[in-house]
Amino acid sequence: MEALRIEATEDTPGVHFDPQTEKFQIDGTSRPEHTGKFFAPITSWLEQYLDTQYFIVSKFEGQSKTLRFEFELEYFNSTSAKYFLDLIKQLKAGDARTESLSIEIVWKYNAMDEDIHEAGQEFESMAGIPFTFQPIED
Amino acid sequence: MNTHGKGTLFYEKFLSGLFSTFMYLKHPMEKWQELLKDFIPSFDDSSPNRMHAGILDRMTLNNFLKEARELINATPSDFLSRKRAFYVMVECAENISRHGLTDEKGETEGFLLLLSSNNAFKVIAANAIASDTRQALEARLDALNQQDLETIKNEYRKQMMSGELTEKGGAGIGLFEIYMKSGNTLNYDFQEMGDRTVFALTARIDIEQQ
Repeated sequence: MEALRIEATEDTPGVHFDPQTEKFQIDGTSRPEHTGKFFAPITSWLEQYLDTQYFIVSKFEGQSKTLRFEFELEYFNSTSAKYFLDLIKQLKAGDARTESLSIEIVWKYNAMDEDIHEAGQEFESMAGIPFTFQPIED
Repeated sequence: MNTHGKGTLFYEKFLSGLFSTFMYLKHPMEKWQELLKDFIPSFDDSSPNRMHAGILDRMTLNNFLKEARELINATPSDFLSRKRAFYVMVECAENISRHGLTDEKGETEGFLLLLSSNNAFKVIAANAIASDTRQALEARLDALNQQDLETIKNEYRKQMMSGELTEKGGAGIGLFEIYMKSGNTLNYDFQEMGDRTVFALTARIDIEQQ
């Protein structure tokens, strides 16, 4: 499966999902003009990728895997918040499907930014999947 | 059931016509300042501010936000107050683009003002809305201003979890966010103009430390 690479702009986040290196990262600012259109390819990529991973761990006995998704957001508007929650719920569904496939969510934030920290805690509680919080000192 | 009498309809059309004439003849800045004269706090033009009045397309919005961010960053204030002021500014500007009435060219007009002082940022936004949306908007704003923070947070979570996006593509949580980020009562005003209503909102973001 090909990597998903969306370069960050002034108002859209960078998305780097690489199945080869198993690095999955979203960072930057999110207030796209057309939020639904921006998030649609990310959601469908993720759906396909999680299905593939589920197939692999189910097909081969003894296989298990942990996938680590990192969020490092500086700012996102209220509409993006809704889409991020849906994305995190999608990861939670992937995690809940089988014990052999675990998903870890790492929420990085500027140590001074208690709003982004709190937003992560809200997502964690609403989606029902534990986050690892990593404050970044300037 | 249509409860309007012919006289009322005529009166509304007349007012609407007056509004349109008023909207098109005047310079946007002058027009909006006149419309909002009782709502905008009197401020010295030399005090730091950024203002936009007129068509608000994506490019104008982005340029305005860039200028607003520069003003916010130049104001002696703490990190969180600056971030919250910018957040509220963005939500207010995007609300105009998303919910403001469009003209026959599909363009949306609005008014945005950012004021900065030693102890607070103030964001003022105004736009025309369909008159039949006034009641629901007023009820939402009153509820926000009267409820305690925990109730508001629960409502916010409910809205986030409901999975429904509004017809205009918003998540219906913009006002919650504006309220929670500003940390103060939201002041608002409506002015009836025939078949449309001008809606104006003020959010104050206190500067915590300097």
